[in-house]
Amino acid sequence: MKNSVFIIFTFFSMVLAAQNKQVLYDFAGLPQTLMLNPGAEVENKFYIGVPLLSQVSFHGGITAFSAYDIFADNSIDINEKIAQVVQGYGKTEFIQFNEQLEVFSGGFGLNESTYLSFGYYQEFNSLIKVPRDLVDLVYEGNQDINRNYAVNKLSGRAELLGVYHVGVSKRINKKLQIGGRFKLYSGVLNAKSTLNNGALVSVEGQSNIYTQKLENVDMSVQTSGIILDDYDAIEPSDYIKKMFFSGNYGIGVDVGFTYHFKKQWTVSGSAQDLGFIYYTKDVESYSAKGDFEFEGFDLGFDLDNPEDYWNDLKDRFEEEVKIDTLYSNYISTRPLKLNGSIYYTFGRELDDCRFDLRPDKYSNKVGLQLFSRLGSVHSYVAATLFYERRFSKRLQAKISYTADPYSFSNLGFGISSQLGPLNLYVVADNLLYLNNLYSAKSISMQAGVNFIFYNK
Amino acid sequence: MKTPFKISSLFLLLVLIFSCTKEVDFDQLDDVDIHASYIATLVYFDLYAPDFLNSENIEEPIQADVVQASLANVSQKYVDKIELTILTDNDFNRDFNVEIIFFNRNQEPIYQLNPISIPANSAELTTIIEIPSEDISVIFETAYYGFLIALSPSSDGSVLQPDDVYSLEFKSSLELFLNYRNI
Repeated sequence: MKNSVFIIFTFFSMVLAAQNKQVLYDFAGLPQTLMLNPGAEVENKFYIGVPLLSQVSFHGGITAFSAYDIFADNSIDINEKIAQVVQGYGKTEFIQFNEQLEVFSGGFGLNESTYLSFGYYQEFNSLIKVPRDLVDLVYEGNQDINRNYAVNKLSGRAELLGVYHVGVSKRINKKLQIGGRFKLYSGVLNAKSTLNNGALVSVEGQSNIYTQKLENVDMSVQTSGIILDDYDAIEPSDYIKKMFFSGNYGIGVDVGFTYHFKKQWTVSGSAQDLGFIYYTKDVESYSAKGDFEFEGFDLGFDLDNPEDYWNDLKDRFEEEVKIDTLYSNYISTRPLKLNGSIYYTFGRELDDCRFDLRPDKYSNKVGLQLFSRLGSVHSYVAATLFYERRFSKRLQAKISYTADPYSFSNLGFGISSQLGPLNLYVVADNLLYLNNLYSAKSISMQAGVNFIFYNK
Repeated sequence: MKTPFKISSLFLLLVLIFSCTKEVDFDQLDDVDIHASYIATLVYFDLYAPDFLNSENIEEPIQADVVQASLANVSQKYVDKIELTILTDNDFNRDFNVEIIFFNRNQEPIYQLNPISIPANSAELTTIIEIPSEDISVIFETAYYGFLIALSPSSDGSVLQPDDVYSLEFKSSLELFLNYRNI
């Protein structure tokens, strides 16, 4: 059994990257942890999230540089700072933004072992991956002869959607809790471009100084709800309506578990958004495929039969690089998020007479979490060390240290407090940059207010 | 308000309000001055002695051609300078003069590059012609590029014969210098 535990944990660790909510994951038994792991353990009798305030979450980041790297008000010329940023640019860097707003949420215990949770949230997320070749092409130009300016790693996605969900968390036995969540997606906007190929290269020519080539071009972009006939006719309220009923629907599931494989040792894992959206509304997609070579216009000096050089070139280009516009419906898979955690609990909660206040429960938790986002655009992994402390039933806190593609020193902190049924939680990371937010390459924060009712 | 709630509220306040930023100056964007240059292949040709003879084998010393290409829809905002590189190889025993003339859509000449002189029996020769920033707007009004190749008369009065094997090789490229400023 122990081997199975580690095989499962290793699987979740290996394939484990979006919007990492490393502090919120498995934190303080909050209802929102069920959104990260439907197999998480929650102890409340029922809860209701304050509409629009039960979870406000955002995460933004650029792996290549921070705003402070370029806009610092110091004696260094901005052009020099830009040059340094370009020099330090990796083979591929990405820009990401994610925002989630829980519109409503609630949950209650169906019986001793089963907990049902449900709700609706709105989400926007975008990720653009830009290869170094494109940065150099814009920043320096194409004067490097024989260099392939390739777009192979250029990809991106952006989507705005609403998500209805209902989930069940079930305690199988004292050791194991499993859970699943069904999601119905309503996609409002979508744009996706992946698996792009192609390169621009200038080589020494035979008949002319240079021959310029577009090699192995194979690029595409799919859009829904973005290319419209009349933008003026669109009101913001239309988007809000579409958030609920867009006509672009999809389904997905979250699955997860929590397993106490030893008395004080626990492993947990989850997979979120294993699903897709089928886009059928205002769909427009473009693709370009082919090779093209141009050595220049070979002048014929025959004015009696003049050649139409420019249009001949355009015709040849259109023949050799096929550019198509498609209006066919398409499926977009959701970026899959995987979480895994292993932790050790310790420290009894005793009253003044040394009685155990919570038998089989501990006040401290220390462990390792892994997060992975797997997407057609980009995948990444983040690792987190954490310590969580329950100070009382009214106050819990968690501190985390995360290494991710943005930083190897991401310090996060979360706090959850309870005043009667009113629960307030705040989670933020990159706190080492709190004294200068502009120098952080990424920032994320979640906060929310719930009414949580516990069994007496 | 009870203490735990105060602590959470305080943390939220700390993060939201007391998180601070060091001095940044976004107005520095006005000082951005990035230079990039792009090369593009242009026209080329090989002209041989018979190309300067008509069907009666009488010498016609002028050859002309026109390329229609409008850049009217291309932004000239960041174009700083344009440089043409011309490589020639002339093994005629006579000089050539090449003129490149820009015409607008009404086929009226609006600009002319400095004529390119190609001396007789000159091996590979590089000529660089710069179109200065003050003249760049002309390019974007141009609809036709005229090429006029003029073979100079021989000093001894001789004319080309059909079996002459002289040739003139002409290659060219363009380098576009952009300056991203006030982005």
